[in-house]
Amino acid sequence: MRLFAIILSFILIQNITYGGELMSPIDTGFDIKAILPLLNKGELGFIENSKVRPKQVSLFSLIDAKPDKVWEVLTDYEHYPEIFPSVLECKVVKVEGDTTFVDYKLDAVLYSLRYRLKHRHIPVRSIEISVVSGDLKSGEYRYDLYPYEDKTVLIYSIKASATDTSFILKKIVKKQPTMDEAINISTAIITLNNIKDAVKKRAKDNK
Amino acid sequence: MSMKIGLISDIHGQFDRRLKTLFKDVNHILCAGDVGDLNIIRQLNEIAPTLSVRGNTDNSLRDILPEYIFCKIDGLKFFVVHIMEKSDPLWQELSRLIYSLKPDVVVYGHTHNYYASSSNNIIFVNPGSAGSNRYPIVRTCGILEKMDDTLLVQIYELGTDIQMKYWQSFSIKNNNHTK
Repeated sequence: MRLFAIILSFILIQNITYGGELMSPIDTGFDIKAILPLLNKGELGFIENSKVRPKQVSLFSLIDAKPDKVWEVLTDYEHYPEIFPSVLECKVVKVEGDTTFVDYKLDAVLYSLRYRLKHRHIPVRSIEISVVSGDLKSGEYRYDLYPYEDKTVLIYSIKASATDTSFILKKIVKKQPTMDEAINISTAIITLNNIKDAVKKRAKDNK
Repeated sequence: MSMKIGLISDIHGQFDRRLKTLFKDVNHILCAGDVGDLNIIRQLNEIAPTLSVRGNTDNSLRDILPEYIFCKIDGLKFFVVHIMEKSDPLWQELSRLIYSLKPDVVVYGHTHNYYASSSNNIIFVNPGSAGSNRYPIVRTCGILEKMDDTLLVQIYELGTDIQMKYWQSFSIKNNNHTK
């Protein structure tokens, strides 16, 4: 159980091979207003209807802070190693218009992965993330922020497969290719919980 | 060609190996929580792609399983949640959400009693408990089969032998939820 959770945390911002554009669930007609009251109890996982693997997985979570505070954490790349335990190093290499290019070094148990991602910012609304180069071949991710009272619904979407990441995950997924959606849901939960904790910690530190 | 989905809930850490036989033809498995431990999810995934929510006893799986799942499989919309009780403080919000999302099927658990019924073109299925006999209730799980415009819900008793205990078919011909 612990090992599995650790492995999941290692694939935090990675994963591989995708087929199709990653969309915000809100843009696909998902009625977010209907789920808002229930997010106080826990997350909602949304899995698209696709026969092509990997499927898009989106996780909705409620964060007890306004969107600008959540945005601050999401775009604070230099502090990602403190926010996400599996990120060893994180460095902004260049900014071109609304796009920030970031180099990552990720702990993958027995070795580390190095790769560059580009993050397209639509301030306080969404961040579209894709792979540029390095140990990751492909993969699409995005954050969408939705204000709700004094809180934020943060939606993290993943369209990727874990097959080319750590050798342990590769073995798991090779044996059970159907694990992709379950792994992506767990990855999204861990990611959102890390962000939630970081937002909470900053609010506490600022008091 | 028909599509089959294995429905299971309240396993409480006790995986019945015979599920491998019962679910051998299913395309997916939906689990409505109270899984018990992560090994169960792994074992279910060995049978078919499994999506599971967490139940009220799944605190150790909080980083693994979400509270709710809304998914689309072969054109059918499913909403999965562990508790669907009127006594739940969030009952009204949950009902509102379900009627807003308009899933074809709601899969839930918690009561350990199997159940299948339809309301406002939404089919509600509780496959019962596939885990330990905490109460004097038989262990059960279900299979949902989609055949053209019909959904067939079958509940199987996991007793000394596995036998079909109950079935009900639902027409989805006039169901405009499904896209």
